[in-house]
Amino acid sequence: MSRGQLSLTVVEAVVGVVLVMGVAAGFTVVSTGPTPSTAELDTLAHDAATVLASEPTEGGRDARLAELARAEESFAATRPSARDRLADLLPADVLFRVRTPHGSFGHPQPPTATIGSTTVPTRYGPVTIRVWYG
Amino acid sequence: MRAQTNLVALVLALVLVTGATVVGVAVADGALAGADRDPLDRHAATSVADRLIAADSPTTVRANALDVAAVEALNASRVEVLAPPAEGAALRITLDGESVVERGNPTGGVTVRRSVTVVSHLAPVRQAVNLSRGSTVRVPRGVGRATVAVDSGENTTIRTVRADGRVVLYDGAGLDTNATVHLSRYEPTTVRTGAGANASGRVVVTYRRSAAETHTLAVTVDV
Repeated sequence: MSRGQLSLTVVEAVVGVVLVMGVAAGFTVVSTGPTPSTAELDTLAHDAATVLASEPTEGGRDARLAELARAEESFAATRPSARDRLADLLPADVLFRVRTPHGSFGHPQPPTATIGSTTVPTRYGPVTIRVWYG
Repeated sequence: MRAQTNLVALVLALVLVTGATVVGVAVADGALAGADRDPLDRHAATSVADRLIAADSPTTVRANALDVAAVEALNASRVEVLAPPAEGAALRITLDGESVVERGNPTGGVTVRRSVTVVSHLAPVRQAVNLSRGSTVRVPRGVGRATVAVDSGENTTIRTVRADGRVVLYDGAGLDTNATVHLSRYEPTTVRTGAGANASGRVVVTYRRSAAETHTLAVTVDV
């Protein structure tokens, strides 16, 4: 046996590591899918978007969500009422941020929180609502 | 010399395998902790909430907008008809903490929260226009449905009724009707009849405005 060769024990150990990691990976693959909290956040974001998309605005000609995406002026005009509506709609412990083609509003998004989100296409561009437990 | 090399390799191997086992167990534990432990409860609660606020549900006027009269008439057996997975289960449905339906004691069940609006209809508004003086009726924003009654006088034939230029009622032989028309809820609508200058008769437009309040719907089911 020449000195450059790998020791048989180390080879066995590597095989063992692969085996254990394989079993662990099996656990994660089998039970993947979103955790219940993400599913609930996604549903809440979707609900908020549905309500905003089916409500008329004061002085506008479109649903609140479409008014947010239409133009700079309509975004600025609709933003306060949309923010109030979202704060009323979502449960008290859920915070939100809305992103539109003309800017975003809402609470600053924490970098580590579990985020639920929904993106609604309007004819003026997509509007994204993100929610998380605050 | 060779025996010592084997010893180093053995220590290295033991460290590798131990480390891998620790990491593996940690990963598996995390996966198990994150898994859903109450799939039946969660399924039942989700389906009750989904069916209650679906756009075509008898309890809603549109998606996520509950009808206040239907909510008041709601009880456990109606919920079961809507959502069979909740059959025989202890359940509680609340709107902003106020109980709507309660059966049994669903402690230990799964709670699903949804954002909804509750729509209540105000008293109907009746707007009549005398065709000898004018031919338009203005319907405010937020009204999706109106009843138009056309009662044309003598020497007058009204063939069309338009809502913001869109023809909603037409009869080539002359309208004499009482019909429901659908309007856009997002902007005020002008209902216009195609009456001429010397027309007589009446057009009555009846509509109901509605008020929508936001609520959080919470459904708890314990199968």
